[in-house]
Amino acid sequence: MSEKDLDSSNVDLLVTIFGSLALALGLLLFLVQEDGTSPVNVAWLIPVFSIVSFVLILLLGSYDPRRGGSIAVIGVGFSSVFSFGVAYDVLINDVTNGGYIESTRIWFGGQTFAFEFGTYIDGLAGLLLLVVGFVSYLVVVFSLGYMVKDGDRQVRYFAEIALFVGVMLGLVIANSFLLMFIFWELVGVCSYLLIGFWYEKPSAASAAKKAFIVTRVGDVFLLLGLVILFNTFGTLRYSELFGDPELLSENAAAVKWATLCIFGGAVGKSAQFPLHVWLPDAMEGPTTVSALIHAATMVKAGVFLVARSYPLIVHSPDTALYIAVTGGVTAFIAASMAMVMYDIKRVLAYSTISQLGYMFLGLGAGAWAVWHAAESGIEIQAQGYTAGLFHLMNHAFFKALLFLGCGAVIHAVHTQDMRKMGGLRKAMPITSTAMGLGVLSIAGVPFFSGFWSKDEILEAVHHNWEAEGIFGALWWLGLLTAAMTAFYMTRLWMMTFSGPAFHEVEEVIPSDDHSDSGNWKVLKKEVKIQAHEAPLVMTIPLMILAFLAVFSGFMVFLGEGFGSVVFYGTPPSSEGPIQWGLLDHILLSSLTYLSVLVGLTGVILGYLFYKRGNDGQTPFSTAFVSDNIVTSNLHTFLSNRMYMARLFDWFGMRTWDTLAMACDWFDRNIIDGIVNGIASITEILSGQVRKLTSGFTGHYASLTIGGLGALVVITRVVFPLMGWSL
Amino acid sequence: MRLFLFLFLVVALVPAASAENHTVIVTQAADSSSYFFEPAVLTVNIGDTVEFVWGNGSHNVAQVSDSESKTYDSGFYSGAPQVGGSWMLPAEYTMDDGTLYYVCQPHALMGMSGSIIVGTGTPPLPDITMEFGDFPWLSYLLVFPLIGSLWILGFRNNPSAPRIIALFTTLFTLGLSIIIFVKAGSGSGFRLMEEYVWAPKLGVSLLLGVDGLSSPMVLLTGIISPLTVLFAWQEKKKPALFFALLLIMQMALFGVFITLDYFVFYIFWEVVLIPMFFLIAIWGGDNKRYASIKFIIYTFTASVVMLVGFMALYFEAGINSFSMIEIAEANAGFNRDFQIWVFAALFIGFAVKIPSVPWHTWLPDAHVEAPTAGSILLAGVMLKMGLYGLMRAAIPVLPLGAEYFVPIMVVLAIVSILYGAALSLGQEDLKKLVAYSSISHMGVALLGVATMTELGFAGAVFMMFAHGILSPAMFMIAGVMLHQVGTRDISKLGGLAGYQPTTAGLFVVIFLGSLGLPGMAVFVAELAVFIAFFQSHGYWLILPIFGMVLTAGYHLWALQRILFGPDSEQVEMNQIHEAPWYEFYPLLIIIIIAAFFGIFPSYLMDPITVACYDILAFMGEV
Repeated sequence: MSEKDLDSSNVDLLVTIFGSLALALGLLLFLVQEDGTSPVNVAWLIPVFSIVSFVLILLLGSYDPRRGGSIAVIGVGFSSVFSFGVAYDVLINDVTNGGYIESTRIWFGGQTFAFEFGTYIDGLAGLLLLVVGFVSYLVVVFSLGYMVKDGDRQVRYFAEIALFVGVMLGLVIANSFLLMFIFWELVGVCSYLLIGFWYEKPSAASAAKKAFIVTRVGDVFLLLGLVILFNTFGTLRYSELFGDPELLSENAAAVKWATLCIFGGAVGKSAQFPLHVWLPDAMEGPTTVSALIHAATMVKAGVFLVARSYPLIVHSPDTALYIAVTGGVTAFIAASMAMVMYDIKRVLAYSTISQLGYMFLGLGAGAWAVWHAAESGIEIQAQGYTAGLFHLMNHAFFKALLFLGCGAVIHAVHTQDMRKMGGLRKAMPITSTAMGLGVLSIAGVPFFSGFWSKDEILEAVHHNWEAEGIFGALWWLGLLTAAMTAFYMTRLWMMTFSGPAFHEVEEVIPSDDHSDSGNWKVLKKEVKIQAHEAPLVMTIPLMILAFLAVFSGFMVFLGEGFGSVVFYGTPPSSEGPIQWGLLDHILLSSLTYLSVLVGLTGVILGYLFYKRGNDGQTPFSTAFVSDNIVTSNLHTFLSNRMYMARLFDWFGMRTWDTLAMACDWFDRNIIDGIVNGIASITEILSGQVRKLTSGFTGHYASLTIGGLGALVVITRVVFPLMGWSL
Repeated sequence: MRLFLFLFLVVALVPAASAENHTVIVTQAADSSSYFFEPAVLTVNIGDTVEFVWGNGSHNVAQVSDSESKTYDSGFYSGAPQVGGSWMLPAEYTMDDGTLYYVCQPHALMGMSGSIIVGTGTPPLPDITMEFGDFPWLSYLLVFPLIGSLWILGFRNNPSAPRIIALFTTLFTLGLSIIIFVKAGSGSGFRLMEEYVWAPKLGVSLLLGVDGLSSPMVLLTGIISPLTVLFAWQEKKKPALFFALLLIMQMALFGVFITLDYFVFYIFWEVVLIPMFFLIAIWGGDNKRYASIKFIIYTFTASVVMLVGFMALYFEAGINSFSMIEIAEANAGFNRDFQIWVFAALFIGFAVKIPSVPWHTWLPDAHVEAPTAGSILLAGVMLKMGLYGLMRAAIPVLPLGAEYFVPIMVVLAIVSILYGAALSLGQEDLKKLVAYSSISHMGVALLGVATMTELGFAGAVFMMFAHGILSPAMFMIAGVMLHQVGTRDISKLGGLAGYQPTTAGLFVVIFLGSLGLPGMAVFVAELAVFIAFFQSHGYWLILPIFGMVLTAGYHLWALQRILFGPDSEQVEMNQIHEAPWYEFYPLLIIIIIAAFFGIFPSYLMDPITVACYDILAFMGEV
């Protein structure tokens, strides 16, 4: 493609993007005007646009692969504009008055049951619509640049992406657990298709299958939870389930098992321990897909689910505690593994798992606090709920930024191994700056977005410490995780971007006779960095996300504050345009100082360890890892992903294979053996009986006499003796 | 029920007297140690009156739905009369046969409850509405395939006439079956009925009719038949006989689904076997002799056991009629042991056809050897006869037998689900994999039947339809493989998606649909069955629901090995191309139908639920 083509296609692209957005806005305003009410009433259109564009791409895409991208941008653009409309009305105009707006229809039903579908819009749905709509749209635009090299396959890519976004938006606005579950499964299928996008790679095909099956384990629990709820309360609609707290507390046991099962679904989808193994492998898909999965769709569905089930979870302290513990533990172990990975995408994958753990920690702590407060007879705002969702939003922005940036880097250097990178700062100024901002944000450096939400989560956990000791341990885990996060994210940035533009790379590779002797040899090669900045269609989304990654945290005190629109329980009182009280509370708290200190320590350590020198090497870290027996063993243990992936693979392959083989053997030899055995016995018997038909009159005569005699004996002697009668 | 039968005898022996007045004392022990109605069980005749007289203590009388229930919901309610007062049960409650349960609301938990048995004690059987149509739609459904098959046999030497006639005939019957489905609607009872007396002395007649249970099956048969013909478009070996047999089979399948007479039902049931036997024996694979003989002997033996059951029903009912409706209406006279034995006989006949583990081994053999068209009809429609028969010919007539068999059905269903899925996981032959997955899916349907709830029944019928749509597609995929690369061996395949991306896309959607992807029909059925099973059996659900993971496992593993990964070196990859039109469109049509009913299940569920509710009402379960 020549430069001129690129220019003209850029103009086309701009026209498509802005034209479709303007058109969508026009349609939205028209519909609202017609209806005379709020965009909430047309919320059902949000997923429909994307799903229709999915069908259109499949129908029309075969003519021109570029058209797939345009249709996806238009379809997802319409969805996003409508999402914004709804989110604006809910979050800013507060049309729901802190409650919800629901529409419902019967999906199918009989005389004794009915299943409904429809939309349910509240603050939570509004927040997710905002995040998902926005991030997805940017990812789709970014993909236009990123996927060019894939030629005809773009059609399939954009079709699946459009469907992915559509079903995720559907999941957010569903009005019942059933409809939510339907979209939930579809989200899983889309991720299956996208992770396996490069299906000819065996690793991609297995990663896709693994993602689907591991999350399916969670889905089975979720379905079980829904079944319990339906059989206890006779409905799966949110408004009916949540509307009667007394009924919920009467059925505490059912609610407990149902919520635990529902959380099981979230564990699978959001890659929490021990079902986290699929997410790092899911990096086999295109990086944009990873960005979507990590920032906006798939894994956020689990967090959304827990937030959605809050009215149920607050009636079950066990579930709340279990959620918090799972979150805390996952956050910690995922962060520990992220510290040693060399694959840039894997580092980000583990960081996502870890950050999701944070969100669950916050949500669990909040739910437990609500339950505890209710026990003591006070109404409180669930701080953990707001904090967890605030982190969800901030994380969506900076993680999308990091993944897209990482995509731009991979796009430029054609490797994912950070050891082979370095010195990209000069070559990719926009990407490196944007990613740097993302790193500072996730590391929790003060005033970047991650700082506010992480701090709030830790505070919510710390708050529970007085009442329940285990939250103390979780708080320490959270704090440690914060340090580790700062460390490994700094490491990532330093290894990728710092250092000179030319450098020599040493690689340990198996020597030629490795299979015999087990020897390794060191290969030295000069690597020249040929990277260049990505095109505008890719860097502009990065810049927008970088802006948000820095400033989205300010929402916590600007306006009426984030907590006044996304809350559970009673909203906090407002103090005018800026929540000074909240700001004071955060900035003057000793907990904040502690977490800032911890975060900065991580950043500094990361800088010291992994700042590439003039030779492009990171001498300190290599020495630190290999010289000390503890650290080197720990490094091996963590590099092998704690051997969990291997255990799962072994369990998955070996046990089921053996079981299947055993069943197959049993079926062929025992069950079918009996069938064939009966047939053979019949054959043998008939062979014997056939001999009676010998053709000799004498034989027949004696058989006749003998048979008659036997009949007489049976009817006249045996029957009377036994007391039988004919 | 035994109690009812005993009371029935008692009531029958007592000569009908004029309206009597009965009294129930509502009281408690002086030291408040016990609370009771005296008598706790009262038997009255229709039209009698009952007066409640208060002893000491403040009590009331409140009707409850059944003997277990402790809380007043609706019905009669006395209020709280003074000690020594009385209250008269309103007369309308003793006008019909039935049992009234009541409690004293404040003392229900202390066991203060009672019941009044009115007349026979059993509620009257709901009427089965029968609507005779003015146009013989259903006979046409039987006649047209028959004419078509005879017509085809006239073109024995023409290579393309048979398939054109077959396609024309099946499209025509598809139109008929859609009309019948629409006309059957979602009302209660049988529609479009026709009766042609055949052997009046024996009470055999060709009694045709459809309700919400059979109309989806008629629609399914109608949809699958033209697809089968299309898929066999390139059949070179004896095409006339091949397509004629397909049409005869279609006729017999329609016959099974629309007959309401045990005798004729049995005839159609057996007629189905014959064309299938020849399809396997003539057009089958290497081991066709073994497979076809195994198929016919196995299923025929089971049918004979079933026939014994039908005969027992005919003679026990003693009304000189084979009509399912009339025998069902006479079922109050069947005692429990009789019902159990007869149900056992019928269940064996139906379970072999479902097929349920351990009577399933004929199925993989038959599928592996059968030509693709045979497999499509076998998996798509023939397997549905078993569950259809169970719900049509066994359960409404033998409610006590069915109840007795619930635990057995549950165990067999769960074993079928898990064992079938585990077997699928271990198969290398794609057709065998699909065959075992059919066992697993039909296990889900059997589980739905075993719940004895409206939702479970509806889920089972929906599963029959959904599986009937999707499993033919799976066999078509196996057919496409065999056709293009000459093998169905999964381990020899790989990387096909690169050579036939569009077809591979269809394969992926069909596999996902079959594993229960929401938006496709199978999901609705699984959801309904699982919810219903939890309702009836609680946490045993964990076992069958775990089958979902296994199901996902074997589907995706097969997909990965066939379509994805590097190109296989064991087959000629450059032979692979997009599927031809006669294979492509059947697959696409199936996807569209499965998605339509997956997104709008109510079009099917409305008639199904009404029919299922009627069956349950007839059994007295709701």
